[in-house]
Amino acid sequence: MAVNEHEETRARLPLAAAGALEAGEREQIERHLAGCAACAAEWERWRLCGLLLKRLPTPQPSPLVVERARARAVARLLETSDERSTQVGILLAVLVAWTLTLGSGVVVLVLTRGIAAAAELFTGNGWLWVAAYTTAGWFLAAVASAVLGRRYRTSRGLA
Amino acid sequence: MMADAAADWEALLSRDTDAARLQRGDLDALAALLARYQNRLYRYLLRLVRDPAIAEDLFQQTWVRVVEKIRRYDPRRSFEAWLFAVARNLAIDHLRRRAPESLDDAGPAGAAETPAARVASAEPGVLAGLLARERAELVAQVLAELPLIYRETLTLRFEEEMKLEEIAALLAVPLSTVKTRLRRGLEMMRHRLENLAGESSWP
Repeated sequence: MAVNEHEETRARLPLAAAGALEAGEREQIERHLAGCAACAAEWERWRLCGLLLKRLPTPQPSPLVVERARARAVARLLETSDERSTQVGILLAVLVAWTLTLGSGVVVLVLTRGIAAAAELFTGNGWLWVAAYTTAGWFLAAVASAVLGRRYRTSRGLA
Repeated sequence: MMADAAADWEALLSRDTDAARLQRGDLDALAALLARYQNRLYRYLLRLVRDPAIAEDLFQQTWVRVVEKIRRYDPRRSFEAWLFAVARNLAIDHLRRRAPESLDDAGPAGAAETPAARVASAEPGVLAGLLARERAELVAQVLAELPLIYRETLTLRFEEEMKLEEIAALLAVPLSTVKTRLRRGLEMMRHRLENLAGESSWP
């Protein structure tokens, strides 16, 4: 038997014990081991080495630690869920505020300058008036959101 | 054979379902996942950090991080791999803070309680049980003394029974690196075990 074959086989035995060889490599080693007692004995040692690792007892966390982990995770889950619903609420409130701002612009125009002026929105330069009004509304809404958000974060100890 | 495959598929589906339920904020799903992975996750963390108190703390942090990030989890991926990656990141951060100069430092041997000492042996018979426990303690001690990259790869392969591809994905290294670490890790294990136990105790 060639010396190289022994060396090649022995070099692959650790990976064979780890089940990390390709099918072809495994067959090659099995053929060699069937006819080589020295390499077979060596293989037995690697196999045992892997077996000892596989049979290590599984350390377990104490029930108290598991319960603490569960309690902390549940608390965090509820907290994130609360934060998420608050974010959705704020988003909806902002959308409603914008809608009201746009709608009230037309109403204010009708009340102050009459229906004819409101009709100019679509024909003349009335859109300039609405744009200015809306921009002012958005700016106020942004300031209000920032103030409310800051107060919320401070109250939750997030800031 | 078919029944086994069906059972495996059912178990896989159940795991994915629990993760999907947790994404919807289901607290029962959290309890189910915790019960399923608690031992394996704790074992992995203990192998990485070697100190039961730190492993227990990281264990708790991992589950908090899981609920924080569960919405980013892709259900098409294995939850197990994702969970272990979360735990690994926390453990690596801890080890970096403790010893930023080298993550491969073996550290003080035997500083941690031997994991085997915390559980009863599964071997039947008193003498067989004693023998198994003695050997398990020795193996656990030798494993704990290996550099991080080797003891991590060995525990993922032999204890967690992960596929090589899964280990490579978790560690973010090529498959060839996983094989190299497995081979070198086993060589170190065997060398140290033989030195400690003596040739006579080997077959």
